[in-house]
This record gives sequence, C-alpha cells and structure tokens, in this order.
Amino acid sequence: MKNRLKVLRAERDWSQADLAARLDVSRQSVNAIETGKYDPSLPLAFRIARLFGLTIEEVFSEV
Amino acid sequence: MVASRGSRLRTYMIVGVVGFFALMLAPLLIPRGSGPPGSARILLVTGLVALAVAWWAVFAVRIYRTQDEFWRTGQRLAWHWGGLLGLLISVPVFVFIGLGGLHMLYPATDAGPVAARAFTSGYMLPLMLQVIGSTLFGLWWRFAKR
Repeated sequence: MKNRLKVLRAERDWSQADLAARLDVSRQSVNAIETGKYDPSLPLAFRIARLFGLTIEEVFSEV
Repeated sequence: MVASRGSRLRTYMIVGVVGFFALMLAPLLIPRGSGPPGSARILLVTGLVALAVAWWAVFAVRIYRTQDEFWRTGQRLAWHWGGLLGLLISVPVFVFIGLGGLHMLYPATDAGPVAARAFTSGYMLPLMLQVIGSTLFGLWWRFAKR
C-alpha cells in the first residue's frame, strides 16, 4: 500500500517525531508506515487522515 | 502529568525484568544444607518461581498494552514465527539427545535410561503446554470473534 504521509508531513514542516507525538505512536511506526514497510490498522489510518483533514483514500492508495 | 508512552514502556521493562530476576534469584539467598533439598525448600523455591512468573506476566501485559500497534504486530510476529521456528528446530535436537546422541559427541557422557526419561519429560512439558496454550487461544479467537 502506498501513502502520501511523507509529503503531507513535509508540507507542515513536521518531523517524524512530531507526527508520532500527534498520533500517539512511536517514531519507528511513522517511519515504517512512510516507507511502506508497515500498513497501519484501519483505526490508525483514520486517525492519520483526520489529522491531515483528508479522507483515507487521499492519504493511502492500494498501489 | 501523564508519562509518555516511551517512558512508561521503559519503566515497565526495567521494573518487570529486575523484579523477575530478583524473585528468580532469591532462592540463592536461602541457605541450603547438604544432600537433596527437603520438601519445604522445594515448595518455597517453586513458590518464588511461580511468583516471578506471575510478576513477569503482569508486566508483559502492561508492556504489550502500552506498545503501539506497530510494535505489537512485531512482537506477535516474533513470538509466532520465531517461537515456531525454535520449536521445530528443537525436535531433531531432542531426538538426537533422547536417543543418546550426546554419547557420540562426548564419549565420557553416560546418560542412562533415568536421565533419558528426565530429559524427555523436561522437553515435553513446555512443548505440550505451548501447544495447549496455542490451541486454547486459537479456539477462543474462533468462537469469540464469530
């Protein structure tokens, strides 16, 4: 699964640690999601989308 | 102020590990006489080890609940596939030793049938409990999540 997390984070000038703190997850989790090594659960995907004011489909895509 | 997830995790790990080893090593402080241990000592040491295990279980649950989903997933993966791999590797090693294979490596070793039975029991106990535990959790999942 692909995602735009890195771009969205950069647009806001947030570090991985900043985003991790806002999502209440570890920095390693953010890094793994950004690099596509870990697909977040549906609740976490919703939290991520909500944080950026977007829908899940606008953050994550299947391919 | 609520401690961060990271500091809570570190605290649980330190307290969990230190408490576990303190209880496990506590029997070393109890003076032991010569000869085989008496019933009182066996019960006391067993009780302390059971306490240590309970301590570890409590902190294992706390650690798991404090971790985020990424680390939980990693831990489940490690226990499932790592545990399964270790278990599978242990089977031929068990058979080799159980059949007296150590004698081939160390000719001085003279393990009789009593030692072989004790070794088999020692091997089978965690294996069986692991299989039972895994089966019970599998059944719970199947019925609880219908």
